[in-house]
Amino acid sequence: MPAQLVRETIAQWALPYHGEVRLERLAVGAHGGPRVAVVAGIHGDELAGMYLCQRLAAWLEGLLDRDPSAVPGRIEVYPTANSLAIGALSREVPALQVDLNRCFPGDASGPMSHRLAGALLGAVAGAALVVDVHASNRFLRELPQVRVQKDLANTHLALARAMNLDLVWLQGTTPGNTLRQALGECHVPCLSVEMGIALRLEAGFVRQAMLGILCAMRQLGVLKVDLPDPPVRSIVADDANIHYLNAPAGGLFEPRVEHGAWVAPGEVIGHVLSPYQGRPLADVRAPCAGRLFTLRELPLVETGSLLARVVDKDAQRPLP
Amino acid sequence: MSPANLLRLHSPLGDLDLPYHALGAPDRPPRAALVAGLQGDELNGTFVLARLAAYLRALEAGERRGRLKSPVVLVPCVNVAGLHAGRHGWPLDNTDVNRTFPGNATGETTQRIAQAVLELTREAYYRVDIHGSDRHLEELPQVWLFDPHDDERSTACQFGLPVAEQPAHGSYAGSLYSAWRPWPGECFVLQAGLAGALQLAHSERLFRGLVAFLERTEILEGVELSEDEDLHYFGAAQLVSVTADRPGWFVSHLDVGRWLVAGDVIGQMYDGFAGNVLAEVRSPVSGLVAAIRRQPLTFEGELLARVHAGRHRVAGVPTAGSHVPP
Repeated sequence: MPAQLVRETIAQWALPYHGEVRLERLAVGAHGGPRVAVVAGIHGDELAGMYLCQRLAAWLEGLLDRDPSAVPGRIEVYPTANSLAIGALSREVPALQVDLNRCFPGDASGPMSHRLAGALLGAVAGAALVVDVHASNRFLRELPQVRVQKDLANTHLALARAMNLDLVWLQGTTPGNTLRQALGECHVPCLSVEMGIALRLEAGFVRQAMLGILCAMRQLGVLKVDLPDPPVRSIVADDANIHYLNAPAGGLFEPRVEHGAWVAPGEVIGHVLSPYQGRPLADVRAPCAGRLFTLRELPLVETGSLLARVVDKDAQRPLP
Repeated sequence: MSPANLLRLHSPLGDLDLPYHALGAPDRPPRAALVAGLQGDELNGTFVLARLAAYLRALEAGERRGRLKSPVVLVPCVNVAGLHAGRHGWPLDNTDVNRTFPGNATGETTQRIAQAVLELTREAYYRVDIHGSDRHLEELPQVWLFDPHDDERSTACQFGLPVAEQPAHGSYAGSLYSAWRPWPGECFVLQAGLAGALQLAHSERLFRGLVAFLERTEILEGVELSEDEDLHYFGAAQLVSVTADRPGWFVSHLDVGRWLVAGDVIGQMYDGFAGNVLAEVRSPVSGLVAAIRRQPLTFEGELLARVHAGRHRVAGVPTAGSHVPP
């Protein structure tokens, strides 16, 4: 039988009124070899991951048509992990108002959100790599980046750097009950990808991340295919190299530099404005020389709202 | 009288203040800190603390019998923006304020609020965080303890409300309660009612419980207390969750606070489309109905009711005959 992508239902649950909600995946390759899982749509308003899965499926279909033996390992793609939330364009599981990415490791006899988390975790457990694709929130636009638990850097960093993303962020703490944390406790490598902004597609970012995922698959022996070397040289930074710029006052944030720009110390990144006066309420300046990898897109801000993040240019130190 | 203000967030749309009540001698740290409204749609606690502030001011003014012996601080509502917007979380970004502790004075808006609330309350010996459940589940007014020490077990009974030790687990990370725990003193969570509306009977019971607590911990003296409630203390092993074994519409006529015997009907699960009864939901144990689901749309596995099993009277407190199960 020729190798092909197969759509599989992992679990399904009846809805209170009519119909059911399903956890589904696309899969190709035999069990037994190295396995990579790509998970998207844990937050229902982050659409970039779904698009990435579609591009990945199209690429794999073309590859398998040309060379049915090109996938010696196994690839599993979960494009709509939280389909109920996607249908409602909601970050949380609707009705329950629960963030699915705070429900891991899940509970097979718990509420639906925890059953879904448990089923997803069970399905991806044992993989050589899980890539959990996110698209920020509705407020902040992110350069493509991969987030890794810092204490797992020794084992995860080589894969993270293969991902072709602008930033590898080694985080000292991982939010509790996330897929990444739960997989970390099972010793399954999990890389969280963030890119773009919720509710939008950034095709360039998606192409960049897809090449990175393919490179990681090749590195793990899941794919046997010629690929260009990842063109992006990632900045590797930990929390000490990441600077947060929070709004000094509420108002409208007007950015004055492009997202992704390299900035100099003291350079004006934007202004906080009031509709009741002409002069800006506050200037927002770069705290150091570095790259503006997070920039607020939704302009309404309150005192304290995150406006931007800059990664220190000195973060590009040689890796240990 | 202008209230004390914990924090002012400047905005051209209108500055946002976080007012609170500081009552009693201003030169001494508060003996008790009572906080409500971390979630903007939990109205019972906010209403009760505002009423309690008026009551304590009347004591201070000599308009009522009794005296406030030690200072207290009351924060009736932390999530002021959520309250005005009718939202559980912070309206702009839907952040759950009760997952932002210990906060950060230079961080996000909600982190700044959390830091200010913790700073105000952490040195009080008694710290009480009042909640009004969510929009799904109606809670009997009760005291919750998480991994308590013996002093907390003892003091919890002073509210005159049922006390239930909850299983401690990681999902409370970031809560005010968890941020209070490292500080010396005693911490309590009170639960009452159903979010999104005011339940006057629950509010009145909560108010009486708080006054009783303040009197019995000698923060107040000389006040008139209503009759003792029928006190019950439930360990974590006695909390029985009744969950849905199928999806559907769950409907119950039961009131919280009822005593059931094992096998009593708690409610019916209907087929949401066809309308027929799929199952009668029965209590697996004899005990007190501490919480019951009011939002009917139910997925499999969701909580329908919580029954506190058994009947453990606190010594010296009279039993209310009407509460005795048959």
